[in-house]
Amino acid sequence: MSKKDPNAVFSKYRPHPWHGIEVGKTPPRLVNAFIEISPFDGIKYEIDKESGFLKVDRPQLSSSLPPALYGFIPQTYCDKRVAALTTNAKKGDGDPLDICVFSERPIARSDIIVPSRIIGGFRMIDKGEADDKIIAVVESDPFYFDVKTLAELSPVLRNRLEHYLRPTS
Amino acid sequence: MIHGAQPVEIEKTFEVDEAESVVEAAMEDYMDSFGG
Repeated sequence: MSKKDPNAVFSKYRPHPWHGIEVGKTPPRLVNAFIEISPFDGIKYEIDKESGFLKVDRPQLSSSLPPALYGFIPQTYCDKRVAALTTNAKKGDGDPLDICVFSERPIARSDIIVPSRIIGGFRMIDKGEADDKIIAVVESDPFYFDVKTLAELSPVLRNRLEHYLRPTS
Repeated sequence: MIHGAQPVEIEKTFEVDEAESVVEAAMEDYMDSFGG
């Protein structure tokens, strides 16, 4: 009986979430989201680009918490091609592409991979840099099965997300 | 990642077709900078 090569079946070491995880099943529609912040977090976490671990960025600055899982799509990067899609950005923000994922059932954990189906997005400019937010739903979530576009998402959820992303000043 | 301390502009919302274009552009930007 032949032995399987473990390196061909699984990673012996934890892959870097940005560089070592697949973009998704069939991108650009079905993608993986690596989650940095859950809807229950009063702290803003973000990936440490060197180690791949989550680190504390800062406490959320207002009482508004993210209404969706918040993270990024692995093996993406916001640079000149993303900036070229905007009218006002001179360059990308130099980070992986952000994604907000809605789940009907509460998911209270971060540092997880969520297979997601994209439905739209927000074109955002942060200090002259493109900082788009892709909006998605959990791919296997039957509650969102019929939500194919941003227009079909509840306006309540869309407004909550916009409120969270808007400046507080 | 954003929000809170600095003014952030929401230029517009976009639907799924345009979102796919953004994902594709970000995948190409990744390939340009980090290879495959």
